Amino acid sequence: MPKKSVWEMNFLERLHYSISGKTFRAILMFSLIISTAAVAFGFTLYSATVNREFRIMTWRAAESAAEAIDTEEVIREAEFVLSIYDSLSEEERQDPEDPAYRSKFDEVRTEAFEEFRERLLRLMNGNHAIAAYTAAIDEENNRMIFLADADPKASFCPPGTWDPITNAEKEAYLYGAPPSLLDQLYDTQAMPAAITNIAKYGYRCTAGKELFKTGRYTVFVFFDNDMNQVAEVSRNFLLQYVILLLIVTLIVMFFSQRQLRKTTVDPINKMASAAARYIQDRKNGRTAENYFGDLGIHTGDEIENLSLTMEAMEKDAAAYVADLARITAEKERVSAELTLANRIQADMLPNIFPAFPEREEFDIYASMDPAKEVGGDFYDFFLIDPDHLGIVMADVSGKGVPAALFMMVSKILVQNYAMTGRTPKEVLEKVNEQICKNNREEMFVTVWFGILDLVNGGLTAANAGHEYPIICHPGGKFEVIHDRHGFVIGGMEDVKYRNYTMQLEQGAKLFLYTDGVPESENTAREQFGLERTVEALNRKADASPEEILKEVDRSVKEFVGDADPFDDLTMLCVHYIGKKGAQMKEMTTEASVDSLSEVLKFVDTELETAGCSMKTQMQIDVAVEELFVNVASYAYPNGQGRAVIGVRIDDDIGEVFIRIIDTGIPYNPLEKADPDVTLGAEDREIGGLGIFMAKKSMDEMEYERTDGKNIVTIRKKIRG
Amino acid sequence: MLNCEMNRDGSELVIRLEGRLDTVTAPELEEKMNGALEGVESLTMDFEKLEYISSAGLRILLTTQKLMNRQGKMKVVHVNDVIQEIFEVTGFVDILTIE
Repeated sequence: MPKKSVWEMNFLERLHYSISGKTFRAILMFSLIISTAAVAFGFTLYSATVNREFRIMTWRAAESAAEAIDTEEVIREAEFVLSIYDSLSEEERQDPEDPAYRSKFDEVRTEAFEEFRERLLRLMNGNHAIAAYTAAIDEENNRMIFLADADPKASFCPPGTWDPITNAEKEAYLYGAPPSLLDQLYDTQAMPAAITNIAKYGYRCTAGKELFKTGRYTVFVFFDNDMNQVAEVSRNFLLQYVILLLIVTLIVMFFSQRQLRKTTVDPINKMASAAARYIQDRKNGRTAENYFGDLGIHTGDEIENLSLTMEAMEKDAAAYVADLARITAEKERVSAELTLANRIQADMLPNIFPAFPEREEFDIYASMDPAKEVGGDFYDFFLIDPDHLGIVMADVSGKGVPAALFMMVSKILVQNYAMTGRTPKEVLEKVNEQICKNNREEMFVTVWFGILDLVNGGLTAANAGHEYPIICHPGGKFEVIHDRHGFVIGGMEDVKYRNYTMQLEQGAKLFLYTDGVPESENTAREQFGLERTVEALNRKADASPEEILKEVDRSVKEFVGDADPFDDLTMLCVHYIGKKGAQMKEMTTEASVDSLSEVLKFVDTELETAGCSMKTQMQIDVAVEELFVNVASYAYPNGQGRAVIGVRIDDDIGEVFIRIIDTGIPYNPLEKADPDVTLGAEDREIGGLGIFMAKKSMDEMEYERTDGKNIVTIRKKIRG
Repeated sequence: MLNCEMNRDGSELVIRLEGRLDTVTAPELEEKMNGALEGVESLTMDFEKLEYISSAGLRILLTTQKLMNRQGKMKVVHVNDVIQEIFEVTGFVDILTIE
């Protein structure tokens, strides 16, 4: 098959590849073969007929001459000539052209001989022959010995001269030539005739009538007819025949081509150009109908059939296209709605960064990259009060629109309960309670919820079946924190969660994520894993939360490569910066009254550095003393323990923050009832006075029991 | 650190305290005062040089006040602002005689 279409070809290529070209060549080839066969057969038949007619004509002439001539005279001449011929030696007879040989027969040419010749000449002319003569066939030597030749011209053969003859000629004269196919057809008897073409006499037909036999010689009367004109006539015949055949072939070809064009090539071309128009129009976005219906092909054969099929196909295609357009429009509508839903969902999450440009104590960045148009992952963060940041990372079971709806509900519930000041454990329990009330679809959500104290870096969190948080302490590396997992939210009613606390030092970073990060798969179905996540985090451990998240995202995408995104990639990173210049100083000491001076000295040094007034310093000393003595007296009933005292000066707000930690038995000094300070001296009890004093002189005092630690914190304004 | 100077003049006793009266120093003071108050009818606690007092100190003051209520009178003089505030907060202003 050629690579281009028939329309793009030049004349020669088209002749080679087009249907008309192929038919043209086939007809030409066919005509040539038929013509050649016809010419060969016709010419052969023609020649055979002519040859036969000549042989019959010549033989008849010879037969009639044999009737007309005087046989006695012929016998006399024959005996005379043959006696001379016999008398000569073979050597003398060898050259019949030799005048010496010829002269030996001169005496034969008598008056009677010449008269005989003249009579023979008349017979010759009467029969329109070119030669008439009597001759004897020498069977032994294959010679024709001339007796009397009627020829008056130079070609005259004198008596006694001889010509060599072939065996075939000899057999033909003596016994008749074998009958040709035509002779057998016409049942013609064998004729003593031969057609020869020798240089001496030219192309002629010779026939003889046997007169008599004498010894080894048989005497004949021969007539010759000229065949040259026959050859000429044959040539003319052949020429005309070929010309006629050519004309007929051309006419046949012309008409067959026309017919072929009308019945085959034109209809095919019509269909082809209709198809080309159809394709072109579709490409240019035009729509017309009935490309194949108006072609008017009525050939009644397979081609009309093909055209009808094409018409039906066009109608089918049009119907299909209309269907497709409708379905596509529908799909586009759904897709547009999903895009809108996705935007609403994204807008629900805090997504403008920096989120809290006015807050210097922390930096936060989060990102959500849904695998589908809408996903069930979400992150959230919000200020519960100016000092507490709520952080949420959650993953709803399932995907798509249902997950997105469930996610919205979960997000709102978590935030609403968080804003009421509940601890993470309480928030998650409340959310679970609400979700379980109406959860016929049995969806669930894993949630990690934490509250970060922006003042001291304390983090209180609870985990409802969510991934482990990853934390980087200042100057260290990111490490996975294997926190205690509660059950997923929405899974079961009355599930209890647990709070846990962690201390974020200034500069610490907290990274939260959904399972889309560690469970992202590459084409080899390997998971990205926590190890690679931590590696990616540590590559950028010193960078901002935004850069850290971008690095993780980049690493995951590089790892996944061409594989389909498995799940949403949702991540959040908090960088706890803390108050500028407010570094907590700590000292650890024996929880014993003996250490009191040391503790107060430590606190006083910090306060003096901060330029605290003597009065305030004394008040703070009282509070610290009372709290520390309390620890020393009650925390470790069975022996000795240690206490950690931390002091931080928050210069920007002119406040001092002090924290006393012990690992003793749980004891909340703040719960102790205040003494009645209106009683008289006799009724007074001294207990509880110290804590009461501390409470009264400090701006704020709090107690917390976490991880087996009693933590008491106090705050006091030291300036304006 | 607490310095304690006692001047006995008949049934009058003046105690001058200097420094800090806290959990550590309070037992020292308590020991010194043990017996020293016998026969004292007028006790004056001079707090001019006392910088600081904690609940342990308050406890001694209360015990002493109760004792002196039975055998005479007691007054506290030259109280600085900080200690005055503590006395006020704790209701000691109503128990002690502060001049």
